[in-house]
Amino acid sequence: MRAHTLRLLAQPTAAAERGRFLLVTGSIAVAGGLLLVGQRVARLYMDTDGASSTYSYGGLAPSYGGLAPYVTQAGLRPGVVIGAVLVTVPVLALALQALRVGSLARERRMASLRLAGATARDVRTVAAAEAGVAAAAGGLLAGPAYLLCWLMLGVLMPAGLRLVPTPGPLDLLAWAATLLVAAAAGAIAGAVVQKRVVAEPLSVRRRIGPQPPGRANVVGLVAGLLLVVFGFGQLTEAPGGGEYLLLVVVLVGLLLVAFTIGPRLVRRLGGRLQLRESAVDVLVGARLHVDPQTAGRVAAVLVVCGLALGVEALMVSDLLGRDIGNGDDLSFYLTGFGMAAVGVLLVVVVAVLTLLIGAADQLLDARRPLASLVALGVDEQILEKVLRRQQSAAAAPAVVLGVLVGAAGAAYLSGDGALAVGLLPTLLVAAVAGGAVGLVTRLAAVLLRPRLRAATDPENLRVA
Amino acid sequence: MNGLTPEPVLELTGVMHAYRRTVALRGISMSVSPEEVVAVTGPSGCGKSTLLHAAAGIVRPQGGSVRLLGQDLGALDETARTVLRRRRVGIVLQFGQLVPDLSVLDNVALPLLLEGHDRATARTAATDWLCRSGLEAETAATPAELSGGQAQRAAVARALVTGPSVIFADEPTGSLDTTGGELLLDLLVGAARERGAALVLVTHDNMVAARADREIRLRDGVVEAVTVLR
Ligand SMILES: Nc1ncnc2c1ncn2[C@@H]1O[C@H](COP(=O)(O)OP(=O)(O)OP(=O)(O)O)[C@@H](O)[C@H]1O
Ligand SMILES: [Mg+2]
Repeated sequence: MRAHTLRLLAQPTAAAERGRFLLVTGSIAVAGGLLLVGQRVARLYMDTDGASSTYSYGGLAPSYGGLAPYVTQAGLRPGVVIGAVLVTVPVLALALQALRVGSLARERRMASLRLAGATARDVRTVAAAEAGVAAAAGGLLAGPAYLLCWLMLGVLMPAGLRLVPTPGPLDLLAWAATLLVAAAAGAIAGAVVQKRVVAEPLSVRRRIGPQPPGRANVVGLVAGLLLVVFGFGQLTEAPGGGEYLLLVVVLVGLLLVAFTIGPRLVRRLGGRLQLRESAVDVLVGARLHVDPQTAGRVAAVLVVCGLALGVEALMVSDLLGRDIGNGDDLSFYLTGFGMAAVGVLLVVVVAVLTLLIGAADQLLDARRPLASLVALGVDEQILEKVLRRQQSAAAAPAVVLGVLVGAAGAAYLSGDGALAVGLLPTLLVAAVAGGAVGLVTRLAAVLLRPRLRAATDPENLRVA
Repeated sequence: MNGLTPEPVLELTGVMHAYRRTVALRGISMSVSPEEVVAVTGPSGCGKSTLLHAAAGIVRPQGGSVRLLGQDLGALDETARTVLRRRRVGIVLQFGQLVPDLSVLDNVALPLLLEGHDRATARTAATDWLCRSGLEAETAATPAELSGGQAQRAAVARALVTGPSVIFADEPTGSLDTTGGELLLDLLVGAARERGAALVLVTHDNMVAARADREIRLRDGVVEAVTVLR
């Protein structure tokens, strides 16, 4: 396809398309901004404060630029960097979910393009261009997003609590790289996502359903497990200088494992639910069984969030249980934990947003069966319940599981009776986290009500 | 080939096709000569649309074979069938075939653009056909802004813009009133005869069928009768 034709066909014109475009652009901008913050903080070891000889290599004077000790101390800095990078994971998952979202308008458009003589490959090229442009726009906005982070977490914070240092010229280079990577990744993702949508001249079908257990999945799982075992083993052996690196290793491994087995576990869960008595359970189970991808990925993110919360719960209770004596030290730790908790909270919100978008998409897919269910006399309230349970069925257990495993891991690492002190707080955190996720999914179901109403419109019975 | 009977542009042999529960085609054999105008008629649900889709390579029939313009469609993959269709076949359906967010002009130019022509060339050709279809004032409109009849005429212009050898039309006048239908048929049949393209016209309207050279009546997925009209 020639460039002028591609340009003509890849413009997002329908309102729903523009929404999709904005969601992709927005989440890439946020993720890119966070990554730019991460690299800036990581580059602090190149800064000199004029007195660095007194501090260990890579460390800065405590008052340097009014920065918080979490970034000036060489030993703590990687924690902030890891945090920034980890928060981008669910944000990127959100972007991917936004790409998957179809709309009636889009489906009609793809089918009509095919009828006009576009090959399946042409349609994929159009999708890649659309996504690439949206992602590139996100990459472009990553710069302003970074500056905004600097303003909010750097300039406006009181001295001593600032997390983002003043931007430097090297940031321009990093920004350019972000832009390029975003555009390329967006185009690839757009093409891959379109592969799951079969646009034929007369209709559009989606290749939903169980993905074949691809080799990449198995490799990911094995690699993830190896990383976890290796990292964890080393952590208990020698908690010395390299512990942050090991922590990253463990976390990456956990993410890999969670993302590869998340969808499978959700599919299993769906199968189990289908065997139950209640109609709601059966309907929920069927949805999860047929399309476990979104719920699985979100569950993966939530397990890792839960892990972070669990580790924190244990460490905080350990800290409070111990008699530190020095109030400054205590507030130093608690502020750190507080910041981490805010990060986790952000991630949870993003994850639930992803679920919401995924559910809207499923409603679109299922509009015909849904409309016929209503026509058969299944009332809308039951469907709303199905929708709600579909969100929370995997999400709530995932976050609870994460908290418990995280606390157990932390207890194992810190040893000497940490578990005994932390057990009650951990259970409390688990209950609160699970309940919060349940509550948010309830809210999500309310937000989806108009979509549900549209999907159950009897008019849909006539849609092929 | 003996020169007396030219090779047909379309030849169906024992074509069968079933959807999940209904058998739509139960062994259809027919052929269409170059420049011939054939009407396919029959009661609702007898398989006319399915036949047309199979003949155009949009649907892969489950049995039998389809030869279109000298090519065995069963031997071509999806892309090859699409390209064949784009280059040498025109398609007009009952409604809703224009790309919603493109202007009428770009819609008509689209097959040429996808074929890799310059934008200027494609637009010139599209403008010619739009003028001929009486849509010169609507080139910048989007499909949603057109009346049903105008949209159908734009679809006909798009089907003709590549200079196809075969045109398939599925109830092209089905959503139009009598005058609108007449106008459209004049355009479609006129252009096909003038350009020497074969035309396969699905219709349940006897007035429409009367303009064909030959009528093929279907009933329940089989050919019930063939009538030579001229
Ligand atoms: N996509 C489909 N899925 C299932 N069944 C279908 C589908 N399309 C057509 N059918 C069935 O196949 C049979 C033939 O349909 P087809 O559309 O070819 O008939 P038709 O002659 O074009 O009818 P009409 O004059 O109403 O357009 C019908 O019984 C129809 O119900
Ligand atoms: Mg029909």
